[in-house]
Amino acid sequence: MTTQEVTVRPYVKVYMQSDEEVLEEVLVVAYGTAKKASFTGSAATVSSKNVKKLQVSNITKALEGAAPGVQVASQSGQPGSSATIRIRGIGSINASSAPLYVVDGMPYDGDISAINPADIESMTVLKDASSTALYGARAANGVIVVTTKKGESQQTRLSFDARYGVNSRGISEYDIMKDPGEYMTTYWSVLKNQLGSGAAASEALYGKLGYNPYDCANNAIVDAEGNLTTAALLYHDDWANEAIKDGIRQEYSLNVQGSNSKSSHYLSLGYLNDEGIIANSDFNRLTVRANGDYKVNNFIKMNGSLSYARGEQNSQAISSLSNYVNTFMFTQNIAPIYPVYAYDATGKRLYDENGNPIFDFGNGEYGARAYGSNQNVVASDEANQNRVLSDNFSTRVGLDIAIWDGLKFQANLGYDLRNAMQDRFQTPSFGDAEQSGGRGYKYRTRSETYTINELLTYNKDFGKHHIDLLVGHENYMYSYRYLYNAKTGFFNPTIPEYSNAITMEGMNSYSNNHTIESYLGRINYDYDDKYYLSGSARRDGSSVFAPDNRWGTFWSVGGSWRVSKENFLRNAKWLDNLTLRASYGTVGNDNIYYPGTTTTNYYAYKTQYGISNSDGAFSVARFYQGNPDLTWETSHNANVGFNFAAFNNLVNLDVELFNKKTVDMLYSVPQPMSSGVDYISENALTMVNKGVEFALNVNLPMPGDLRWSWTFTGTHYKNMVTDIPEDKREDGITHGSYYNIREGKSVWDFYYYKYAGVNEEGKSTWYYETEDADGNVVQETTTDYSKADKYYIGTAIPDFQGGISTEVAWKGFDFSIATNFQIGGDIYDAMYAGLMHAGSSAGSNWHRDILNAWTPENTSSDIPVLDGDQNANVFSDRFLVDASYFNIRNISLGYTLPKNWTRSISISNARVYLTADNVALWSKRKGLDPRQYIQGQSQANYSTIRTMSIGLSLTL
Amino acid sequence: MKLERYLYSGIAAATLLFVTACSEDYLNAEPNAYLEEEAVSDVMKEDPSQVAAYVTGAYMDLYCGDKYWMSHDDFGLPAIKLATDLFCEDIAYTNDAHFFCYDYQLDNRLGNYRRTSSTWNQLYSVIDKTNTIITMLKPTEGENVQESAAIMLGEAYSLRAYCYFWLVNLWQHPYSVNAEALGVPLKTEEVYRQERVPVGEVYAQILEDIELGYNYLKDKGYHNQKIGLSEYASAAIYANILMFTGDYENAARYAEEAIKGGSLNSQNDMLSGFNSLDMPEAIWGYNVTEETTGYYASLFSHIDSYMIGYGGQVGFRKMIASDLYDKIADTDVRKQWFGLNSNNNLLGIVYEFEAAYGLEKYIQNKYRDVYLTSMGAASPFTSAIIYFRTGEMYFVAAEAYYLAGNETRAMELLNEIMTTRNPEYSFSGTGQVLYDEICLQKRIETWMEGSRCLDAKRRGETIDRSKSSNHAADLEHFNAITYSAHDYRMIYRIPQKELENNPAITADSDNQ
Repeated sequence: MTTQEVTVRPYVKVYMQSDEEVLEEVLVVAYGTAKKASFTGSAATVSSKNVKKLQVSNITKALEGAAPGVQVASQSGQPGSSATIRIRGIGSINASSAPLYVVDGMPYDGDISAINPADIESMTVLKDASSTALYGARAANGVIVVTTKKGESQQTRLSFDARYGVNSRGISEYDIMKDPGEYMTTYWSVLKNQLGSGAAASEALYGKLGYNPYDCANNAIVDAEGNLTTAALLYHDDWANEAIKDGIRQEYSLNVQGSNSKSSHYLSLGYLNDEGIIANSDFNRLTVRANGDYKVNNFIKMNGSLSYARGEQNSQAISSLSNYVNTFMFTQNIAPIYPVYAYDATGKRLYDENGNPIFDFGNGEYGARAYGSNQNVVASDEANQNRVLSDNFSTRVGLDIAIWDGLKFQANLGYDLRNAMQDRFQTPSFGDAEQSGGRGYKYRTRSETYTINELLTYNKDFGKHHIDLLVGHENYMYSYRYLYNAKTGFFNPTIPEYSNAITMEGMNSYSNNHTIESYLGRINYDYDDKYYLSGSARRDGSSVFAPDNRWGTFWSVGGSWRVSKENFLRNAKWLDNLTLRASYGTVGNDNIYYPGTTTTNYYAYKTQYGISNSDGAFSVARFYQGNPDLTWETSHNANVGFNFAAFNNLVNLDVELFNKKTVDMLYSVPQPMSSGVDYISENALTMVNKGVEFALNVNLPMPGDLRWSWTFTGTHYKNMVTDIPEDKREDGITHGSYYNIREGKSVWDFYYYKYAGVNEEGKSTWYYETEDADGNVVQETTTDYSKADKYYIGTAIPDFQGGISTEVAWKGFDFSIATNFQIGGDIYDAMYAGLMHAGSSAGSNWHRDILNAWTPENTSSDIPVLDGDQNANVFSDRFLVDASYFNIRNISLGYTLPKNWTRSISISNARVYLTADNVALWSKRKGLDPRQYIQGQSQANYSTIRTMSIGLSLTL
Repeated sequence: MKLERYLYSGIAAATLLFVTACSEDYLNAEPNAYLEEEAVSDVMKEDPSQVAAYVTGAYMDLYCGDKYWMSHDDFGLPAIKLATDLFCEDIAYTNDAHFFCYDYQLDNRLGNYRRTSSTWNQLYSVIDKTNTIITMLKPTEGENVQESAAIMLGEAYSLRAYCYFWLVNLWQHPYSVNAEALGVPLKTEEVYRQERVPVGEVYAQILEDIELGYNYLKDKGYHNQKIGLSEYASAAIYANILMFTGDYENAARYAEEAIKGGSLNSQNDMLSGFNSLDMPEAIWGYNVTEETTGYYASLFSHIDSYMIGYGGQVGFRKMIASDLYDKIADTDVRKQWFGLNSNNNLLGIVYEFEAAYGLEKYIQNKYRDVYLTSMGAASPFTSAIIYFRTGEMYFVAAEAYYLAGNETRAMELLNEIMTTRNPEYSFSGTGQVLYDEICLQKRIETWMEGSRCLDAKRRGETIDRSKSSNHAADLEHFNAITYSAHDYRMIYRIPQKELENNPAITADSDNQ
């Protein structure tokens, strides 16, 4: 702890300020806090200092590269979107693998983006059973404990932070064709190969593509020898430049805090406006938070917090490679010969009566595109809306009564509410909803979570023995209400309200409830600050399972030994700390999905029927086959590790080994389709994630005021399925089309065709296995991929993930760089595969690698001949690429003005800074961001945003 | 002081216990997004006629593929019919990289493709629903069946027969080729044979079902407009089945029963767009609404040449093959089903590709979405789907009579329907010439209605695409020009998911 000087008054309260560089770090753990050095479990903390530096609109993204054992996939750059987080490997397949979030001591089901990063004191990631078992239910995938700031300073202190910056596209385009001539001549060679003559290809070219951007006859764009016309180019629009623009990001936070002997308070206000980089993809958030702690008398204390966030997020349908309104797909996949805007025959851009350029939809009005007819993302991004306006309210109230000599009664209440209004609107002016006169969808949802617990704690020293007991009871209730409706036929094309529309298209409503009741207990014991033992047990009942199977018992034991406190090391002055720790325990998961989805099934034991409207008649059909035998998925976690700090904290090293075994996995076991039931949810598989993780902190000895520190974190794990139902052992279970679950293999191992290059005619070939005359199995190649065999061709699981960061401080200056990286693992680059079509998709763009395709003159290439064969680029290891990357996550430079200047204007601290996020990424292929695709398949997600800002922090 | 502490703690604890005290009920949650079993069965116990909701569920599933919908090209029975029509020679589909192109190239048949699994899954899903209905309503020995239950049983048995009929013909060559060949698994309300049950045994079940089904529906007329499977639709299914088993006399008899379900179309009806069950010839179909349309993933999106869908504005047009087109008499109203018609082109779609290759006359007008034929009064892609119509049954009857040796009746029926299509029509040929004429006119009449593939398989025809100028035969990899309807590519392989999860079917028992 940093030293604090406090005036001695009755009931002095000394607040511990988190300070990373000091050894006795305090962790916020389940139902309390613990000293890090004595903690028997495994946890990693990200402090407010590090969160503050980043320009994240969603705090999950602050974990990227920051904590060992935590895999963070920022799937979308859309402002406000959450990252996908996996702690210590993949926990489950058909049940959620997402960690449990706990905010200020209570499970949090609200929207993570509603939390203002500036309000965060610390984020602790609990990884092993010893630290998570007390959260029993739902803690199988780890726990992220978010703690917000409390009043701590003796005087009332006001802090203000403002930053203003520019967003730009963080990941460049693939190396695609940008030159219309290059596209024309390449497509001409496809036609030449198909039709057999250059002259026929020249004739057919325009008919196939539908546009001629050159000032020449339609059959003269490319001549019979393959030469591009020399005629002038009439128009050439760059789709990416038109659709993707720099945006502004601004963020302000103001807080006031303070404390006295009776109470402490914290009040904050935050505002964020992040425009993103494409139209209608902005995020706007206003937050207010009040935290207070009160001492009623010498045995009653109360604490509470209230927070409100108003979030407004606009987003575009950026989801997949098949969605033509996906800006990041469309702008790269459309051939460069097609214009964004309408042009006349002389190449003059056309304007409407208001002087706005007219968009070209390629639907025949100005030309008939072979690609994406009736679509134009530049126009649709502007006109379409998908706005989520949410009110997020969250409160925590705690009561603490000291009953007698170390015995305390505590009661805590947590309530989270989110009301969201989602309005989607597809314009009637053009595109998908044109013929319906526009289409509006409105969704109204309300989700609420209550958690109430009652705890008895007993804390007592008996000489050198210290004992800490906890027993408690907890109720959890989640409820969700949903209302949806849709209307078509909008009178005025720009007003998305139903008052302006006439045709009802659909309406639906439902609600969901989920309850858990728990009994819990924990015992912590230590002797002389040297030996620590802890044990916990928790019994949870969940409404997801049938009455006979709903109760699960989870437990943990752990121990740590502070070796450095032993007498035999007393004289080792160089050694600051050496702690060994080990733990073992179980945690549960009831978050099962409906088969083939990621939608939670809150009634998994019940068979469920859908009612729908078939032209005015009731239609009833079974939707889900229930299984009353289902019970908790249980994760058995073993953890051993040590902490070593020496030379006056010059070196601080944490190393941990873990083995997480998930048994009775909630899995949708596929059934023969002929049975009429497609899946039955069972407790079926066993999967193991084992690995090692470390965090190394080095504070280099520096002269004078110079401070320089390095942090290096790393994780390596292996994922392996160890048990599957007996009848499926031989062939495994196919999932996600390209993966196969088999004993001894990872759940994300690719199992598909293996590319064998091209044959002597330039055709793609794949391997298959056959028997030779002697009955030996030999590997042959075939041009018919339907005869190809499947092989294990790679894995989406990386070998190593890590982060390196460094901080330098000198006098008032501070400078830091944070990076993260991954080594190994494969990614199926579906976007690249699409860009490498052999001419089968007329009007669809190419990666420039295609210029090296096989020709009779270029026989050394393994890129197949451009003959329009649609099977040339089928899924195979040809498009697997090493998913290694190195990312400069953040660079910050700050200067704190000398105190003697600022004091004169009553400012205790003033800092100006420059900060840049997502500065650069190196991956194996330009345009590919492996961080976005945790399951190993690229799909043109919203690019990561690079933000460069200037900021000012003031403390009064 | 201490007392005070106990007091406060006591009050706090008591209050909390009071507030949170839970009965076991606390952990019982009832779903309402989907209803649990009791919530459904309670309603049906109270009012047995509500079992009809299961029957409607089966119809809905047949139409759209229910939850097995995987992509924009699988939308229930209409997609199965379109995909199999594309196996043959009468639809030219010049685009080589879009939905249905692999069906056209006989290359959408592997176990790990969407087509095989969606088709299989969907038909078994409907079968599962019919099994549920039969289980609920099946009378015990000697028990009387109420009329409403009898109708539902008739619908369920007929539907089950129809689904197995499709299954066995898509996964094996026809009955006449080899009744011992491996067919498909058989699941009824009583048995579940997981192995590939031989074709003959599957047909035994089909015949038992359709006989029961037809008899339940007999004399009940249209019990639920044309959306309920009526005695006429059941007879139409029965006739088609019997054509495969070679019982031509009875096939003719049932085809004539089916014909009683409607009157012949006028010329105007023929040009009305095939999008309404009001068509006089329609005997069974499904009424699509804004709520149930798959929109882009719907039949009319893929076939209407003038709409905003895949077959229209997006440009992946299904055209008539030029040789079949040439065989339609100029005075035949069906000739007007083809050729770019600017009166229909209300959205101003541009046919640059067709113009460039002289293909405009093959553009189809037969199926036009109700949005266009109603001039925008109906919503896009809410066209009704017609499964059976009497027009087809005239040709089934004529062919059956011919094969049963009754050429006179065959010719009578042919002339009867054909004069409504072409007032100048009169045919008096006999023998093979008559048979060929019946087959040819049926190809024209039922163009893209989903019967061509089953006919070709049944007759063991050779499919010849080389005679047309507008098949995509110029592509090097295009390997389906002249082939037998019993070519291995005309049947699907067992879907991978079935193979992996059905212990009674192994890779060895899969199709080639």
